[in-house]
This record gives sequence, structure tokens and C-alpha cells, in this order.
Amino acid sequence: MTTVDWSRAVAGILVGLLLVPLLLQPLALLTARIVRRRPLPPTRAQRRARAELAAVLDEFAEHGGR
Amino acid sequence: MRWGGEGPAGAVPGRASRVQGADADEGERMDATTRAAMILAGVTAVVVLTLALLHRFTDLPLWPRRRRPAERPVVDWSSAPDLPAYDYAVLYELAARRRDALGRAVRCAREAGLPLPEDGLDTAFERRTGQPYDRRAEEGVDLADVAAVLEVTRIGMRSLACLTQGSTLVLDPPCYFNPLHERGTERIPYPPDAFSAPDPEGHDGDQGEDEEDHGVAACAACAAGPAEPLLVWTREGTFPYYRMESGTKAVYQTSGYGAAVPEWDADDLLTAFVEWHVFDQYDENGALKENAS
Repeated sequence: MTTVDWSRAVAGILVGLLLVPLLLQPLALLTARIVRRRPLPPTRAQRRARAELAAVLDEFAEHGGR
Repeated sequence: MRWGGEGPAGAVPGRASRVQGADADEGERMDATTRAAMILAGVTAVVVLTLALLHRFTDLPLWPRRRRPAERPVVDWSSAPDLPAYDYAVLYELAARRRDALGRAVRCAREAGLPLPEDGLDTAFERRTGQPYDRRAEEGVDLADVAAVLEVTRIGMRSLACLTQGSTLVLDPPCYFNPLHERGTERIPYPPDAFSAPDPEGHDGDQGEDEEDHGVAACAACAAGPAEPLLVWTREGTFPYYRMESGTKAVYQTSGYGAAVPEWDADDLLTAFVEWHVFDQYDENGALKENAS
């Protein structure tokens, strides 16, 4: 009967966490860009900023601004 | 008894065979551990990558949202604000709200990647309007300053709106006599008792003749009947803002907040309104004076 040395196996979690930002996510984004043949959509922070800006400008137009 | 030799049936195996068995178990444990580590690494990578891509391309809430910020008060952006009285405290509060709203809009525009100039409106305003409200400063010159903030923030917001829509900003000048009136849709002759408006960008020429040629913008009420100027209190008395003597002859005063200078574009106006110490700091050649602040 074999047993696992979990104290060493847990290191795999760290490897997985490092793999994503160093290799997998850049590859995924590059693949997405190649497949789409156009720039990637804006990031979540940019989308939120645009939404907030639109809300401010809508309020400006609604309350007397032109 | 021989070492490692065979003993009677059912006897404990020898030392060498015990060592070999331990090595085999150790190898199997390493392989199992390695397999487990690889499985954990793979599962972790898949889960984290999925979350990262969902965060990048979607708006799905991936973690508990922070508490929604309190609702901000609505800002009155109309040309003629609906205020019960044009007193300093009321106008200051409105100017502060407009300044904060414009600052927030400029910050959002930068985060959204819109092409804004490096020295944005918010930084310029903070240099000038960042002071807290001080009742001891309730003087005429500050009321005129506050009116300038109201006008300039409005120009800034219209500029941002045009930037997001891809349209060209067309300035609508205020009423020369009172920038808090309706917009200056009419043209009347230049008031004879008003100061002239030197141009900070050096467009001066025969300025007096130019001013008399194009006149000043005025709202319909001021153009039709006796004008109701924005009065500011000074120690010498109460005067229309364009007749107020002050140490700093602010350009926004002498230009009527843009109503007397139709040839200026938005950049000229904002430069004049924000750098309103320009005439005290620079000499005739445009060099900074020694005693300039």
C-alpha cells in the first residue's frame, strides 16, 4: 500500500499558482488576441471607469449641462 | 543462522530483503507524491486561470462586493443655478460639488484610457480651489472666484462629454454681467465702465477696437432691460464684479468669464481662469518676476 507525502504534494499548489500569471494567462490572452484578430476588450477596471464616467456625464446632461 | 538466509517457513525475512522492500516502498511513495503534486498543480492552475479569465473578460462578481458607497448629492450644472440666494456659502458649496464631480469624471476618463492632457483639469483646480471653506474669507474677490469655478467646471464637463462623444466643443459664453444668469445668447456693446481683457496667450493687438467691434455676450434679460450684474462686496463698497479693484486683476473678471472674448477657445479660457495670477507673476516679456509666488 502506497502513501502520499502530503507535505511535499502541497508544493504543487504553489507551482500551480505561479504557473498561471507567468505562463498560462499570458498565453491565453495572446491566443485570444490571435483568434479575435483585433485588440482585446477593455479590462474590468476600464469598463467600470467608463460606466462611472457615463453615469457622471448623464447626470451632467440631466441636471442642466449641455 | 546465516545472514539473509532462508529460515523456517513463516520466519521474518533477512535484513537485505527488508532493505530492498523499504526502497521499493519509498520509490512508490515518491511516485505517488509526485503524481499528487502534479494533480494539485494542475487543478490549482485550471481554477486560478478560469477565475483570472472570468475577471478579465466578464463582469461576474467573483468575490463579495464591498459595501456600496453612499449616494452622492446631485450637482446642479445649469447655467443659472436654482439657488435661493446668491450668497458666498451657498455658491461655495455648489462650486465644491462641481469641482468634486469634475475631478471624479477626469479620474474615470483617465482610468478608461481616454486621451486627456497630462496636466488635467483636476490638478489645476485643486491648486486653486482646494482650500477649505473659511467664513473669514467671505469677501467679494472670493465670490468672483467661486463663480469662476462654477463656470470652469461646467466647461470641463462639456469638454469631457464632447471627448467621449467624439464631437467638437462649441463654447456657449455666459452672461457678461452675471455668469450665474442664463447663457449669453445676445450681443450688446461693451460696457464702457468695464476693464479691458488682456489676453494671456498674447493675442493682444488693437484690443480696444476689437472689443468694441464684437461686444459682449449677455442673457436675454440683461440685454433687454437694465442689466443685473453680479455684485461683490469690498471694503470700498459694493461693485459689479467687472469693476472690482483687486491686487490680482484676474483674467476671468476682465474677460467676463469668457463673455467678452469670443475669439478664445476652451484652452484659452481654462488657461486664463486657472492661471489667474498670470498678470502678477509675469512681466511684459513673459518672464517670471522675481517676487512672484
